Amino acid sequence: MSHHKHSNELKKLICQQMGEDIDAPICDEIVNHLEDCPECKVHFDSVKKLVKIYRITEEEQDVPEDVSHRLFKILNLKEE
Amino acid sequence: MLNDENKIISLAKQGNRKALGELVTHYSPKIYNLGLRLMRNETDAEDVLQETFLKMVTKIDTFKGNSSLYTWLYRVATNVALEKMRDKHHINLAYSLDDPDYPEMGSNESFSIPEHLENKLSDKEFRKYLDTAIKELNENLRTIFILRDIEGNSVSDTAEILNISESNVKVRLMRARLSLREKFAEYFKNEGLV
Repeated sequence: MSHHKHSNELKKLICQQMGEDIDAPICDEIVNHLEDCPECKVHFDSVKKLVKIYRITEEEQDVPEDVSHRLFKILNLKEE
Repeated sequence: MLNDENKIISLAKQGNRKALGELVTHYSPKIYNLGLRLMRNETDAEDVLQETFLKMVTKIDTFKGNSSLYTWLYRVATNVALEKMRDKHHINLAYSLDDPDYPEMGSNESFSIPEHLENKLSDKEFRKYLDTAIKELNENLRTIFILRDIEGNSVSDTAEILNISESNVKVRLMRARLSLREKFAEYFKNEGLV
């Protein structure tokens, strides 16, 4: 990946993470800083990794039958 | 979104029990899973589920349709969960996390996931450590981390759900991530993995 493309993708990711607009000056500042600061880059990468692991291993659970029965009962609704 | 959801909502607003049942059937898995993520146990997740849909059944006539029904339910469920956390642990979400003495703030010691661990541990094993770390987070920080990083809500949506400012969301999120990372590092050290 070219350096320019890498920087743009990093910038996009950081802006999303921070909830800032892509053209916000702070995003540029952080991208520039990350490129020069190995410590912050390590921090950023480790958080990114933690979130990625959480998301890929997240399994949506079905509502257990007994939980569903109790829910419909308390709502006084009929289960389909 | 359900097929003909607008029609079903309209019938539900008029008190149609079948329509209400359809909405419950459709949205209960999502709300139950949100409850599990926020509360970290089945009993409390069930309470969140029941209270959320009790509110839906009694208040659906106030749903104006400015957001999707799921967003509306999501906000109700998050607020129910936060209320439960407050009752259970007497936490105060208004506690100033900007306070430098905030108890969850640890050192800024750098930590990365060593490459040899990525080869050694499966994603499921990583997940086990991560789950434990998240469970041990202070509820304030855990809620922010889950709503923003795991659920993927925007900063402004997270701020609106929690009724705090966007800058406060950012500060809390940074602290949640730092705290989580430190807990993660601690487990690896204790297990002799690093």
